[in-house]
Amino acid sequence: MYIQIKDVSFCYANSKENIIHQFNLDVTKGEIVSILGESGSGKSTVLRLLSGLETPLKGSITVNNEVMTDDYHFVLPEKRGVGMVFQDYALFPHMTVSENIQFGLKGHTKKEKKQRVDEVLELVNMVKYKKRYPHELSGGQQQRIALARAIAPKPSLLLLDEPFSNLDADLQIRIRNELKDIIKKTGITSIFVTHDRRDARAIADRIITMRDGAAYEWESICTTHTVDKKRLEVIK
Amino acid sequence: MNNRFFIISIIALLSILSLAACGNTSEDGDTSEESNGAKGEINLYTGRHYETDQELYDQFTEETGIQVNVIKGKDDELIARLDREGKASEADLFITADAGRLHIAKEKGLLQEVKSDTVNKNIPDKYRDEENNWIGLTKRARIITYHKDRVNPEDIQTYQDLTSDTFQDKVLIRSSSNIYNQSLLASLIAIDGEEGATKWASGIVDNMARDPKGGDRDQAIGVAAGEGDVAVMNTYYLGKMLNSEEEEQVKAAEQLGIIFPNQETTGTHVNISGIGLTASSKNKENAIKFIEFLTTKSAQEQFAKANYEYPANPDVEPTELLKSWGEFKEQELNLTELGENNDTAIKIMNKVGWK
Amino acid sequence: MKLYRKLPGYMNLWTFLSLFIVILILLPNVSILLNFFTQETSNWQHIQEYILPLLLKNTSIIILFTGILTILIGTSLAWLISAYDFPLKRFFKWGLILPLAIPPYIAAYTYNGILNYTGTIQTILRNKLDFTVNQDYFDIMTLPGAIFIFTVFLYPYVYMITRTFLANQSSSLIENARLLGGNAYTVFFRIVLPISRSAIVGGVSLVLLEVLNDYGVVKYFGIQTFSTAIFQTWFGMGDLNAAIKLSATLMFIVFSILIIEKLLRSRRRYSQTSAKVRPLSTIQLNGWQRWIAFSYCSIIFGLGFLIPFIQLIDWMLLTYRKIIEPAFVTLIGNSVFVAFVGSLIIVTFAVIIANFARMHQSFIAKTSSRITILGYSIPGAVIAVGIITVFIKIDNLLFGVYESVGMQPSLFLSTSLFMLISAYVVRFLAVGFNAIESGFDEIGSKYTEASRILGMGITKTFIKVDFPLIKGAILSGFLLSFIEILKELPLTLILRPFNFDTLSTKAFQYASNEQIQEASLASIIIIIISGIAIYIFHQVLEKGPR
Repeated sequence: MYIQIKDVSFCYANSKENIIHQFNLDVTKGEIVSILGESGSGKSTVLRLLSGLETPLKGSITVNNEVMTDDYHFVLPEKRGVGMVFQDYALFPHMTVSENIQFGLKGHTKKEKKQRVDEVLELVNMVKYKKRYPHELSGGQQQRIALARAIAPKPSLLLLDEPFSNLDADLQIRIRNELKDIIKKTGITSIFVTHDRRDARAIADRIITMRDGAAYEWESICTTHTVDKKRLEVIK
Repeated sequence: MNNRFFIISIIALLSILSLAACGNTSEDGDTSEESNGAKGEINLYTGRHYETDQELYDQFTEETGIQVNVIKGKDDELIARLDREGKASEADLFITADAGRLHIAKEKGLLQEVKSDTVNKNIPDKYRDEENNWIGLTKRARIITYHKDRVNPEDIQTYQDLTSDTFQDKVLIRSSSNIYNQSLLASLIAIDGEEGATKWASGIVDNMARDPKGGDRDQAIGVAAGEGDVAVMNTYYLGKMLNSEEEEQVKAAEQLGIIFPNQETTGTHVNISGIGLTASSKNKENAIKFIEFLTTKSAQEQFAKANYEYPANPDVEPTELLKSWGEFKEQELNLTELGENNDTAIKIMNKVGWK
Repeated sequence: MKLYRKLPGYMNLWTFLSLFIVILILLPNVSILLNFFTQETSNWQHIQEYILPLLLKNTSIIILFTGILTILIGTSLAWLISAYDFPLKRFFKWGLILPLAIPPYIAAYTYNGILNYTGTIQTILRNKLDFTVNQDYFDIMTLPGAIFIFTVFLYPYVYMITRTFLANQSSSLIENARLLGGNAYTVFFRIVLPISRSAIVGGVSLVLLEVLNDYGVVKYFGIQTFSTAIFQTWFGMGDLNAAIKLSATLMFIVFSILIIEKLLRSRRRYSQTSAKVRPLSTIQLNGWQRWIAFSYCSIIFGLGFLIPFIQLIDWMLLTYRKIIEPAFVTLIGNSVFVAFVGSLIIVTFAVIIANFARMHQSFIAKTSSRITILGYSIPGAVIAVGIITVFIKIDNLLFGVYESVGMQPSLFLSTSLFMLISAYVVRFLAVGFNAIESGFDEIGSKYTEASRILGMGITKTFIKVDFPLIKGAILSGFLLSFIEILKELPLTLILRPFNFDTLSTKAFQYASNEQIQEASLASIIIIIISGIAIYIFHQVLEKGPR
């Protein structure tokens, strides 16, 4: 299994209840998994736990056989090699598009960096906008740059947090197909979080839904309402 | 670019810090070299803030080559600082404008005896501590001023007269947080006992024309303005008003007459500015030279002239203005009692509601 | 278990530096507060019986009215400036911060000088119009007078913070209210006041802390408050314990205020929408309305700056021949130097702690950020003695070191500028910290998180991402601390090295001898330098966070 999340629980400092409770999820390499859930269901928190921005109370997370967090280990976010596209993109306002993308590139010569920037910009079809600042771009354009920035360092795992929530409806449809193509082209294992079923269906290989802080297979809810919901097994 | 800005600011910070440190070391280095030489230096904590004092210090340096380093502060805080610094203190001398404070410093063991025949000769016993732990330099009398048109001076011959019915709601005086008032009350405790002093304080409170506020000058101005008829103040403030740059202040002061209270009885309350040699002094010899210098005739003349104070050295004449106010009888009192009774005085003031 | 798991996240330079700074701040305070746990003295009973009720009464009246008035004036001005156009508005925008440049005790002396019997107003009435007035109407040395001084010279805290808030946060709400047909008054009272509540509270708590700490104004006006009583018990009665107990009572009040402020502030997160910042569009006022707005601003500006400033200039012209000397250049140099270095250290420390506190939502982090306010809530003289105590301890420990480098064992640190600057840092860390914390609040954590996921450590993230984004806030924090240090008096007076004078000690030297006219020159220079700092501060604010 490429990614293994085992019995993870988590609770924010100012709340009493666990927002994530006994969460289990396995993802195979190259798979695109979508986590579907209401707002406040803790789906974004799963991404924060995966990226190392939060530390789980219990449980373990393993990526590519490397333990990211358990009782004895904790890998800091900057060491995890994870890519993330934020809900509001979080493009650094004081840097140009190309500086934003270069930001995560380490251990390359200047030339290599430039090359990589061009590569990913080409991928998202934004080469022309290299010298612009984020505030000079439209929402859809910002979103693509955010994606380009996240995949530029070739992360082992790509996380996308509600990537469409700030876009117009028709733009959303256009971009989500594009997004799937781009991700598939790079072959990066991806987890993306959304509250929109259509988004989830359009992009994901597999859909997971969240309820009471734990993960369930989408089909189990979709097909039967009365039958007891089968918890996603650790072993697949 | 931003990165560079950050690094530059860090470097700037560090260099400034080291500069500050170096600046200090080099200064200290210089002075310690000097102290090894013939001339040396003395370190002075003073609660007096007069420009003219600085002129005297400069004069001393000129005559002797001894550097005078000064920290000016509030009396009480300087005592607290000396106390905390203890034996290690750099201060050699402590000047303050109240005998009570000098006594407190002595009680805390912050001062030591000054052995100098010159000083003993220049300054009479009564302006010196019994064990010569401090030496008075200048005197000021706490007097009563009255409005020349509205008050018959016959009615106001003593501090006690301030509490009489004649001056109901007519008395102007500063707040109880003022050290001069505390010392005045302390002297009355020494003379009349605690009970008498309490009665007096409560009589003052009853006769107050308004809640106590402002400085001594504000009391005099209040009399001129008609807020009250009589006020208690130190002599030199009136001197300053009469010589003010502001025409209106002079006009106000000219409306006022002055009384040295209790001439027929116990005498007028006198307080001193004085100097003490700190217990921790590391430049004792030079420090004593400095004290001796301040008691000399020429220094005493300057003191008196610039700040309208009475010189403590009896051989020195006060200024013309002070002479025009005439000679007066002083309280027969050991000035240490001002310090001893200070605490009681504050408590009495609180009890009688002297704000 | 929980802490253990989180430990790796804590293991970094920022944590260690923060804890180190916090300990530095705590030391002098603790050295004083330890005295709290000693036996009650008879003085304390005396204080309880005779002074405490009066102190509580005076202090609460001053706090209550100064609070209400600064809120009304500060908020209404902020609203006028943010929402309307009228003559000279662009000037008032920063001119209305200028009263902050005048130290309140100087203002108190100045106003008394204007209003009393020998002052300008009464002199003109008497000499030109032959009209003698009832002194009661011109007496500023009263409780209401003190409230007036505090209000007029401290409202800018409320004004500044509220205006920034209104300019950045509120446009959609207010424009909505306008569209719904609300008139100016409904919009102000029903919308503006409630939504800017947290900003107002933030500003007014700064005002109240300044008021509680004031010694100069209340002493001159003869009003007994906690700060005068602390001085009197400590120095007059020589009773440190009773003074500490009074300080503790004062701190209890202060912390109640702070906790209320924190409670109100913590809810802001929920009210803040993530929508883009858009400046509020202004309405052009017409006819008489514009002149009312103009007059209102002019009156406040006149009272808070112009009138006292002109009076000071008048006095300066009377006295400058007597007092001007080359040494004034040194005074300016000294003042600017300590203010500059002090502010630089303050913002550095503030940035470290603020960055640490926002990374960890833990108890330690929260406590650290609250401790920065400690120095702001204790009377200056109490801090001073705490600092002296600590430095003398350090010097004693270092005697060996001094000897080994060939120096005489002496109070090296405690007679150096180092001690004074440390005291400034302890005292005003909160000022820098508040500005920088709100800068961090404004950018949120998303950029930092993005940067860390892209592989940058905390420190690199700070240098490359956070620092450029909060530069404005850092500069604001720097300038505010700079102004505070420039005006500061009690610490400077008692903690300075030998032969070290600043503008504010010079001004005090004259003022304490009741020579306010002679104090005018130094005061004016303080005001001008602070005024320049305020102007730069305004320019920084104008440029906005991005």
